[in-house]
Amino acid sequence: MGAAGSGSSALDDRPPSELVLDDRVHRSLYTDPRVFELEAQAIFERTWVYVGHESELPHPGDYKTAEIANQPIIVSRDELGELHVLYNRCPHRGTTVCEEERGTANFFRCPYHGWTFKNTGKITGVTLPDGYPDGFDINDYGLSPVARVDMYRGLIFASLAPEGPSLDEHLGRAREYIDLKLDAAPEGRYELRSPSRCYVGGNWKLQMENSVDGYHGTFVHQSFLNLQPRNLGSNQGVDVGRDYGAEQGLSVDLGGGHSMLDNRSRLGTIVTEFTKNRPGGAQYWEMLVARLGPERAQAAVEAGTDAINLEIFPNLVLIANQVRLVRPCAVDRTEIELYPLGFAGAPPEFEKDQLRVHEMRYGSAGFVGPDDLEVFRRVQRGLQAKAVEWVLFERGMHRTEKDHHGALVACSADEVPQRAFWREWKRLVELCV
Amino acid sequence: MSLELSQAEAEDFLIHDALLLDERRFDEWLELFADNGIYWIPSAGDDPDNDTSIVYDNDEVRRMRIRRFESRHNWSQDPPSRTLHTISNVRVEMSETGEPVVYSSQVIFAARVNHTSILPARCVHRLEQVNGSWKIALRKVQLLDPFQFMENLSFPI
Repeated sequence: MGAAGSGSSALDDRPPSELVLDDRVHRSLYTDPRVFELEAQAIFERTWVYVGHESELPHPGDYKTAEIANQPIIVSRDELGELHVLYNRCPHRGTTVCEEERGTANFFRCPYHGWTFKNTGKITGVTLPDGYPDGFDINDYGLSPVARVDMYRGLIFASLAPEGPSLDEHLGRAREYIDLKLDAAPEGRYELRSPSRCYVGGNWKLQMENSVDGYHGTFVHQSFLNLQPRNLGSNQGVDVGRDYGAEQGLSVDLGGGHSMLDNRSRLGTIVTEFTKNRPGGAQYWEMLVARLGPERAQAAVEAGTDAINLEIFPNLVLIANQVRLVRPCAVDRTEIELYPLGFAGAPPEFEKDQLRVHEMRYGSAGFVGPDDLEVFRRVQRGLQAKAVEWVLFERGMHRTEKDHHGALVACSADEVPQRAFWREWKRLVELCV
Repeated sequence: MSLELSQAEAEDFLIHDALLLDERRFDEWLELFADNGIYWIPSAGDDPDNDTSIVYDNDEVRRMRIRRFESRHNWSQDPPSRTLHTISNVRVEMSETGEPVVYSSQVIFAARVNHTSILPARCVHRLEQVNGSWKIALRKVQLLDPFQFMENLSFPI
């Protein structure tokens, strides 16, 4: 099945079920703008999409602006502390009412004709109201809320669809690993630091596939591994010239399109020993053990550093000590925000070291991230070849098993996570078409 | 050598600094820094201990950055970026501790794979004397848009 086909435009004559197979997907799913629009409707306008973190809006009146599928929204906290997610769109003639990335405001005023709204979305004033007849009820003209908003462990999600699984149902088995990663906060409290920001001239799914790809590390990141950086704790003692332990951990399908790479068994106590020896690390470790006990503390440290890459369908990744948001802008343009976590109560020198490690690895000037982005750019170029139709995801199918939860599992260099992603992608797209 | 830095000397220093980068003479560029020198590109805020920076390189990390260019597997620089710095609006002031601080407006052009990025920045070079030579204690590149989404800034600017 590797022969080149005619490469005709797929969406005209083949439904998604023929474009996503068990072991491969069609190239057009990364290159066709109509697929991009289909994804907006079938996925980003239906399921739960991450829009922010409670630490970005700590006080009543705080807000941030964001987008879901290129639709502008405001995430705000009202006077009572409740969160709202509103369409950033004046009901009158369609102007955005807020252009700041974040701020504090009890009201939003439209620049066009001065209509004013509370941060709950409720309208408080229409200018020159005599232009509207009796019976005109301004309460019909607030900022429209999105259909559903919910939060898990400080992570705020919104759904543009009024019906569907709850956030808890959507997150499913991923919750257990969100909990584990966030337990690395020594006092159980954390916030998001300002993000690193990158873009790539490639499809968003390339970044999603890569974030839980345990196969690529030695190859893409060899120039980084060769530096033997002091602070690469999870790779102490790894022989860079070999396979980077790529087949010793696990890749896991958590259901619902979520997945993870789980390298805890490979790392053993390497990461905890490394953590204790970091600046402020001994004190950090003591705090964590005091709160969680030694076993959970060790698991949390491993998960919260490099041992677990957790992917939340469709576009959120918890990796290293960061929250990574992957924003599809166009079929061949993706913006990526990487928010390092700040741990409340952790020793300042520990927190500073965490930030330095993040900066060294990630963002547009890091030693790790840019090589991935370059590969995505090349993939997007390579996929322009129409006659070579398929993108292959068959790694590990012959050795995929079920764990005691019933989850599909293979080794970390296998493509279980990617198959998990595409299965959910296909399910949602087939519901829509 | 005088501890004061004239306008001409400041401009020469900046031009040389930029030339080394534009000619990819990175090992020589590293030697412009004092041992404790910092190369800093801020992003969202001005507190490097709490606000994530794009680059905050001490000597160790700066040298790692340059060593990465030696690798055949540095994909982000395969092919390499070529830069051009234009420098203007240079002003020299004295810091509270009596050392020169050089401010400049720079536009850094970076060309790679049929695309040229334009990065305007207000730069700050804090200099100090080390064995009779001026060395960089702080090289801060304050981008005009520090919160923009960038594709590839793995090379020093």
